[in-house]
Amino acid sequence: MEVVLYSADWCPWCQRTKMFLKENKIKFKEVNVDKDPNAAGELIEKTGQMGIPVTLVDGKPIIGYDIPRLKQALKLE
Amino acid sequence: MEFDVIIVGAGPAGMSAGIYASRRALKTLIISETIGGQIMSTTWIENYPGFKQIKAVDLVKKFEDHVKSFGVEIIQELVIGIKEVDGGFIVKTNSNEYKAKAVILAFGKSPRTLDVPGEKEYSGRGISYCATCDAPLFKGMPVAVVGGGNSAFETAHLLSQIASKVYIIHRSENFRAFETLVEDVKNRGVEFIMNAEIKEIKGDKFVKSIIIENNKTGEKRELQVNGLFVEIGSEVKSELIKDLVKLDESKHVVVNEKAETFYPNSDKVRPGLFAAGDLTNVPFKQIVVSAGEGCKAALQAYNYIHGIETKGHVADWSAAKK
Repeated sequence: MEVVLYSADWCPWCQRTKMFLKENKIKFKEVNVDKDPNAAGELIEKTGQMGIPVTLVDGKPIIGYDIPRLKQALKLE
Repeated sequence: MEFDVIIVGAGPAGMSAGIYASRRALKTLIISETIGGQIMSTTWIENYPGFKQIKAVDLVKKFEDHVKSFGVEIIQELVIGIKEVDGGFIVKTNSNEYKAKAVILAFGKSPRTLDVPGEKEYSGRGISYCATCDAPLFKGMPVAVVGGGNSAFETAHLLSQIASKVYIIHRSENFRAFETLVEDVKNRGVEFIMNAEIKEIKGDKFVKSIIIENNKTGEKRELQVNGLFVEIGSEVKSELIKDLVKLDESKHVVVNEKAETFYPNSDKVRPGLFAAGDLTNVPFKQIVVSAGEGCKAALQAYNYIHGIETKGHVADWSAAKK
């Protein structure tokens, strides 16, 4: 399962999402939209959303800090 | 599943209520869709005693760890109904039902929306209610902030470092924000559009422009922006509770000094149903106030469950539950 988290250091919900993934021992790649100049454009392109956090689980976007959807996508239930 | 007390909401009021309820050995459940409440829409907290400066996310994590250390369970589900039944209340979520002898309402307030055409359609696609989350995605783009309070100006301040052009749109001639903040934002080149109301948000896949109307002259104009940050305050989502408890004219839950609620349109106390934090009519919406009110609600819930009359001093001298 490939998990990618689009986040930024200053975004509280991104930090919460990161905590959730770590607590559940999910390996993920983090893309910092503030530090990576191409990341914001890539995120908007892939998700059609102008907001973070976004977690891609095998390419499927989960918008925001949405624990029920994350659990479902990550098969944690 | 049956509990002594269910707390609806996991912001400072709910977390504090959880700590006090569990220290009174009440079987306690916190249900909330998210954790942290409105403080999660800010980055830094600088007025909570004991922390000169702490990230909102870190303070929330400390609250959560503290609550969980007393054995309180936090379930992240959306509460869709609360019903009184014999011997307590049923709290229904989008996936389960829970029963408790007492319920503490502590789900705070949510950002107020504009309710204009295009708002729902472009939410998350140019319209944002959380500047600390989304602002840097608008690098080099023209954006507008709607509102006249401190949050609107703090958002404009943040955006002025990122966006190509920032407008503040406000429906009156005066701002509620601190003068120093207004001056600072003005000096950063932010353009103020006064006496203006947003009538429509337009775009294709994303926001392209907004239609604003001068509420004195009726003149309309189209402003080319790719982002609109809505900072017009917050409100209690009262649908869930309007038939359960008394609300004031601004839809806040009316409570007495013991965090007890009342029956709708009545001065009769509603036994077993308590409220704390931003959703109540208690003034001064601050983290420390909410935490204090959450404490009161939990101690009063304990007294209610055990049939104890609250008189004067109530000290939390009980030992922590092992």
